[in-house]
Amino acid sequence: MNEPVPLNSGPLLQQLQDDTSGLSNRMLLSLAMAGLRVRLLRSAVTILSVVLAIAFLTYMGIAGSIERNVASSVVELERTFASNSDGDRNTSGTSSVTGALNDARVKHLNHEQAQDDANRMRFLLRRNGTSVETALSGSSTNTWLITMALLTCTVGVWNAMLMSVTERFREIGTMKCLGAVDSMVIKLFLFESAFQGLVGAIAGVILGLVVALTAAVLQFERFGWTRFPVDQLGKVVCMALIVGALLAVIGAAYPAFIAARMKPVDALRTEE
Amino acid sequence: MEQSTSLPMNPSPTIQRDYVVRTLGITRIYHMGSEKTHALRGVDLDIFRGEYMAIMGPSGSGKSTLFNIVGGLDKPTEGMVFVDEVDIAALDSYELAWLRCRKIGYIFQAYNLLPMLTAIENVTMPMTFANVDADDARDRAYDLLQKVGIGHRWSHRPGRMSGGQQQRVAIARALANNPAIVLADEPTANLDLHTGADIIAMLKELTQAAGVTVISATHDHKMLDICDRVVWIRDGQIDRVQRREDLDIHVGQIEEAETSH
Ligand SMILES: Nc1ncnc2c1ncn2[C@@H]1O[C@H](COP(=O)(O)OP(=O)(O)OP(=O)(O)O)[C@@H](O)[C@H]1O
Ligand SMILES: [Mg+2]
Repeated sequence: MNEPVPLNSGPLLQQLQDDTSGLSNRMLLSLAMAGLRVRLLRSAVTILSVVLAIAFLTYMGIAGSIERNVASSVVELERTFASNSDGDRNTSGTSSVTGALNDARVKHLNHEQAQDDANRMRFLLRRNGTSVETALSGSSTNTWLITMALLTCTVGVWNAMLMSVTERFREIGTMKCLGAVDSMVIKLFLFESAFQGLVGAIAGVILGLVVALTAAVLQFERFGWTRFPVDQLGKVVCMALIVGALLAVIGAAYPAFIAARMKPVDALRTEE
Repeated sequence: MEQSTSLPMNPSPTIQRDYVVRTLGITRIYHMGSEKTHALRGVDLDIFRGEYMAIMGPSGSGKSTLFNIVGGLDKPTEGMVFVDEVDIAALDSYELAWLRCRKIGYIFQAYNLLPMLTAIENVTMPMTFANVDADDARDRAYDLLQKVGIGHRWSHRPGRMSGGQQQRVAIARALANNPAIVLADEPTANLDLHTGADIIAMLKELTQAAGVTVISATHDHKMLDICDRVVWIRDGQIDRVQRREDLDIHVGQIEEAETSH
């Protein structure tokens, strides 16, 4: 009997190219969700670690901004105070007498108010163990702390996803038997992790904002409110969300790779 | 979805189109440290399209190894394996995934349903991998569940089903993409006698209706009553291949053949 000719070159490859490879994102999402639902407790713990890290990041960002705002307010008030004194001398007698008098009175009131505010803020800064100068220079220890917190969190996610992968050898193997390609498996785990990261980041941002605002009001009294960095808010929130999702994805990268590289036979051999 | 028309081939006079699986001299050696285990030692096997083939043999004779190789889950150390005229030993992992998805249905001893998905989602999954439209996939999955007799349980998760019910879902899942072959490695080993008989009868009925080839490893003698041919494997080699008609005459020897080793 002659040996059959291998025919894998042409038609099979053709068919492969005709397929737009893979699993819809909707299906991936529902699979990832189902996976999370089943392992609710574990994913809650993973999410919690992201919440804490992102809350810390948000807090540091907002608190630092408030401190800087307060400090720069001091500088600004003292500058206007100085220039106003100059202005008083220069402008007197140039316009109508009553107008000038009125102006001067308002200025004087504002002037006193400004001086009070500036002094109070200087005091509050000192009470919090910092000063106008250090607050403005921005300390590098914060960056360090934040980096460490994020790294710790990434390692936590890594560990959780690794456990999730080993626990699901069978499932992954079965999916591969049913025709899942490696990239699907990778996507699935990244999706799952990114979702946890995002949920954790949203909760973390809220927590971080609440804590930062409370602390600011406690530390800087009404200045904590009035010097709240509204302009920075969007930036900080966006960054926290992106960082949250990103660290979850980074933490899941290696476990997802392991899962994708698994051979289906090995996966099926592991008994439950 | 008829495989043979979608995969045109060079018509060589020696190739019979109704072979769905052909293996040529496959060996499989497992290396464990310095020790070698010859799980298969040169297996030549031809399986016709649409037949129901039982593989029998003592424990450790290499049935699962043969299965994994035919199913594209493992590669032979030597030899060639053709599934629908495609040499699967030469495929890369992406092509193998494609083949597993559309040509092969798997039924496992431990059912292997995905625990977080409902019955219908489990059946839908291979169709999703094959890019079947979501609504069509759902309709077909429901039809299949009806056929295996558990349409009313479509929304249940495997954890809440009996072994027999889970294996029915697994049969529906194996048939989802109209495969050319269904591989069932001891599908009844975890089931009681009666449920096992039901599952085997169902497998026979459904695959016959769809013209699907079934290859099933088993220790279960009920399988012998319904299969077309039996391959006896011993020590990684084919001992003999018998048609059921011939088998009936030697029924007394079956026990003997299985226990003698
Ligand atoms: N992953 C592996 N590594 C090393 N040896 C293996 C491996 N898998 C199987 N073997 C060996 O190959 C031989 C055939 O095993 P196989 O699982 O194919 O037997 P089987 O016929 O399916 O047995 P059973 O009826 O018990 O399922 C055995 O000697 C076994 O020890
Ligand atoms: Mg076996």
